[in-house]
Amino acid sequence: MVQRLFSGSLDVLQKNLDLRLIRHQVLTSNVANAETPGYVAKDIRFEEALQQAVGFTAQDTLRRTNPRHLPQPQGLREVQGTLVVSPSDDVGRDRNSVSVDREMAELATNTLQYNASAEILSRMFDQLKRTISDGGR
Amino acid sequence: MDMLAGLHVSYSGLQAQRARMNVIASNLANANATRTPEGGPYKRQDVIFAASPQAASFADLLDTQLHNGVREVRVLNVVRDPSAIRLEYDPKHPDANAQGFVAYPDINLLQEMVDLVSASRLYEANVTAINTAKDMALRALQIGRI
Repeated sequence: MVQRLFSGSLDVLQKNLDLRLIRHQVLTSNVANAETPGYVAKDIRFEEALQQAVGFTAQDTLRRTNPRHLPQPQGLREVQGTLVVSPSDDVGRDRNSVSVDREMAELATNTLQYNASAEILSRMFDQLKRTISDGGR
Repeated sequence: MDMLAGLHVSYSGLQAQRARMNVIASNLANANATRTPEGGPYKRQDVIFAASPQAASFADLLDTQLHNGVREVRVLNVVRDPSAIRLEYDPKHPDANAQGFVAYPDINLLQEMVDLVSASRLYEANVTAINTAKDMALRALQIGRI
C-alpha cells in the first residue's frame, strides 16, 4: 500500500542514499590518500544503472539461459555501481593521481545529493503521516 | 555497510597529515642542530605514506567489490636522509672538524614551509570530509523525525 502511494520512489531514494554513502567513502579515501605515492584516485558510477532500474520490477525479470542472451536490465535491488578510476590530468612524479580540488567538489556534490534524497524521503513520510492523521477529520 | 566507515578513513588522513606536520616541525626546529644522541648533526626526516585496505567487517567482505575502493592512509615509516649534511667553515665552533668545517643538517627552509602548508591544507580537506560525513549521518537520522 505504501509502495503504491509513492509508486516505488521510496526504494529508489533508499538505494540512492546507500550508493551515495559508499561513494562518499571512496571519495573520502581519495582525499586521505592525496599524498600517498602510487595511489590511484577512484570513483563509483551508478547513476545510469539506477536510472535504468527505475520502473523495472521483479516480475519483469527475464531468465538468461544462454550466455549469448542479451544482458537483462538490473533490478533496483541489484544496482551496485561500478568502481572506476577517476580521470586525472596531473599525475606527478610520485604516480599519485588524486586532484584534491576535484575530490572536494565531488564530495560536496555527493553530500548535497545525499541530503536532497534524505529531505525528499522525510517529506514523503511527512505526507504519509498527514494523510493518516488528517484523513479522519 | 558501516555508516561511519568514511569517518575512519578521514581520521587516518588526519593522523597521517599530523605526523607529517610533526616531522616538518622537527626539521625546522633542528635546522641548525649539530649534535644528536646518535652522534653527528641532525638528519632531515621525511614520512612515507602507504594506502592500506580498511579493516573490514565480515558483512562488508560479503557485501560488494566496492569495498576495494576504500583505502585508509597510514604512516609506513619515518626515514632519515643521512646524506643531507651541509659543511660550513667555522673553525671557532666547538663541533668543527680538523679542517675547521662544521657539519650542519641540510634543511631547505623554503621546501619545509611549502610542505607544511600542503600538509595543513590537506588536514583541512580531511576535516571537511569528516564534517560532510557527519552531516550525512545526521540527515539520515532525521528522516524518520516528523
